[in-house]
Amino acid sequence: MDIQVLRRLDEKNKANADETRALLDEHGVRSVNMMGSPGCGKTALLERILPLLQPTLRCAVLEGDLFTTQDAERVAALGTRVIQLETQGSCHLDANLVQRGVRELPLGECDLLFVENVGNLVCPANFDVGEHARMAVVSVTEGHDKPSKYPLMFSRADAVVITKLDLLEHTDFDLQAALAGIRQYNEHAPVFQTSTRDDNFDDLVGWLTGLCGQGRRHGGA
Amino acid sequence: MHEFSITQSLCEVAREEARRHDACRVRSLTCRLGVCRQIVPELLHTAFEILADDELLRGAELIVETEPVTVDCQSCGVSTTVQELPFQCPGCGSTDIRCSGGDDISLLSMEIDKESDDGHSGSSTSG
Repeated sequence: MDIQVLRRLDEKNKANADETRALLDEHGVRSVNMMGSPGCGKTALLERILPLLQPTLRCAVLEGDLFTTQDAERVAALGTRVIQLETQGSCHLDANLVQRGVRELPLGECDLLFVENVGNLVCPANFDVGEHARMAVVSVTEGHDKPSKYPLMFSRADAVVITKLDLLEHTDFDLQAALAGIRQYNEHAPVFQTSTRDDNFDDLVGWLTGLCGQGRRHGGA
Repeated sequence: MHEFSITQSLCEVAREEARRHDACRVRSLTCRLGVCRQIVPELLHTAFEILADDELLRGAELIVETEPVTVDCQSCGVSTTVQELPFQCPGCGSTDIRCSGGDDISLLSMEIDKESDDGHSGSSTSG
């Protein structure tokens, strides 16, 4: 006999993610899921924005990595609390693994949590990890066609960060084409154009700070 | 390789539903996967062959329906659906488009044999 099911295959992951979000909400912590290709500059971006955020916000990082602790060590060097999430070869973080990391954090001492996902433009976009906002990171050296090739990543992003803008003149990267590619899927996400060799992080830092303003339950500005 | 994780969830959901309906065997499963999910059907089938290793699911046919993406062309104004990347307006070829949908990831239905079906696997009754 035929039976109707009509159940989503991501329901268990979604339930875990909702539980994590509720736990973070309880403590007034906002979380950002950072996703992008290997080498797009996610960790380098953190190295630049954490020192700008930390005077006003208590930040923590969950560092997703296939095997090594190199990225976690770079973040820890900034005095930021960091928990390593070793995926043992898996291509994405899921809600279960992130929840384990969140439970290790002293959430009462934290305002803003970054989850740096495994470098990959496809798989991470499929898994809600309990974030409040999704940040897609794409670099000039990857090519301007990336947004239009990875619809789920860019359609679900709450913000897009273009990195390595200082290399624009050395590549064939067409900035307008990249922006048009993002808008194909996402009309509203702010797009931040950055380079770790320049000081152009104010808008991004403002957006992140605003995110925390929305979520704050306990005092603070 | 998120296909492996998705297939694990698929098998879990299918086993739960099969037990709920007193099934002794699942003959087929029909899934609907959005084109934006970028799931490779071949990898999904391979993962299913590996993970569907119990009496309920072994040998079941996995049927995958693709949910297209809706493309609204900003150049010619026509709205249509597209099944394949990269997306562009099928009418005028413009990439100045707005895309929506194509992100479904569901198990729609299953064909099962019930324990009360006399244990014969040759016939399946509908309804």
